[in-house]
Amino acid sequence: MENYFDVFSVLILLSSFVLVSHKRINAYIKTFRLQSALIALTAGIMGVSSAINEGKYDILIVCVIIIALKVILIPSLLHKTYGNIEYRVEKDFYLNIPILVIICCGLVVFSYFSVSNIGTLNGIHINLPVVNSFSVILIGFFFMISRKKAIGQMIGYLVIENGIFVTAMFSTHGMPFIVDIGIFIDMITAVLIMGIMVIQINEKFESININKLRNLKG
Amino acid sequence: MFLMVYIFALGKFFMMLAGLDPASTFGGMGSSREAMISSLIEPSILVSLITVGLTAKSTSAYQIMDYMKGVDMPLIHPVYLMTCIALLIIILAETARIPVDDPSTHLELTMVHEAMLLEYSGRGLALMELGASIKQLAFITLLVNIFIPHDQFILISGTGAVLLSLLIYLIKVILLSILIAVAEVSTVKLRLFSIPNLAALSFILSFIGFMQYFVLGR
Repeated sequence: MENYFDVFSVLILLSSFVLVSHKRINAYIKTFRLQSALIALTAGIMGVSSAINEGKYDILIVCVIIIALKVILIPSLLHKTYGNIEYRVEKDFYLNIPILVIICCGLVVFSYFSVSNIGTLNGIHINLPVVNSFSVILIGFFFMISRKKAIGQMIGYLVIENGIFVTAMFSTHGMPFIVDIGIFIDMITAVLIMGIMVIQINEKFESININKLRNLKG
Repeated sequence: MFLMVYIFALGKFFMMLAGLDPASTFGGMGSSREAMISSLIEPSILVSLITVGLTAKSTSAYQIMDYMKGVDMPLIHPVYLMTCIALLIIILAETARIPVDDPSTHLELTMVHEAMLLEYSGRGLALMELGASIKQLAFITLLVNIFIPHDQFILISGTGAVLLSLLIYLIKVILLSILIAVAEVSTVKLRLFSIPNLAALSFILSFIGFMQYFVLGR
């Protein structure tokens, strides 16, 4: 069972690298959907094992909520937001992609050397999945600061949220149900508000490039 | 194993020289592109093979395959999973498949491998094509036999065992070729300047596998 969690955490890390190496907003949304599906699969496996061993169904319900929210609802909201703004070919990031990917690799190395020494909580062998999902959080932060367009930054926020959820899931093997629900409601509100903000920014400034927000408008 | 990699590199070097030799413009262009791609992809080949070699404590391909027979389900192991995906990208790039180079193109501007062979005809062209196919088969064999070992499942001995092993090997090679064909059908050819992104991704994958070997210590 631990082996499967190792592999899934590695795959989630891999999907965030794929996210960093993409250029287009459609590809971001697709990769985010893939990452959420991987997380839902992990939660499903964990939920089935806890339902069999301990008779708790919390994580299975969380898995269903992840599928409904992160795999279906939020990507379609993002697509809708993206469809409302006009498409414009612009350079979306500050550095070129190989350098971004290599900096992310540096972040992963950092978290390998810093987090892997923490040891285990609850006496469960957790090192590798926690380290990987911690690096997903760092990569999410980096993705957020390296992109210029607002939708890219929204995706960065969602990736950070995914990383936090996965870290919590791997280190405690199931958080209290009410905490998870709180996080999800928070996230869906944030995405809705940010979607409205992006459309407003696009209407006012005719671009979602955040560098243009410095221009004065009278 | 490293000998194999560098024998292929030597063959490629002389092919580039032969592409430069007739002093046609396309030959020189193809040679320079081929040099760029192979120099980008070489670090990730070496790092992934070194990682596999470190786990098996040998760089001989035979001993690595022998060691991998004892590993229980290699594709579930995070280190081997990372190096395996890296090697898949390398196979696509090294043997001139579609995301990097289109083997069946007749437009000179998009040619990489074909541009060097433009001056050949008849038996020379057939030999070159045969060489490319042998190289692809060798890489596929390496991947398939390292990461999906099958000899431990054959319980009989004698000539029957050899034939059975050969049969299973052929099935594995055909399955991997189908996988590569699916990848080729479902993607488009990348721009030449997007190839560094793919190479960076492949290098990072193998490097993370390498890191995980050290952190996990197994």
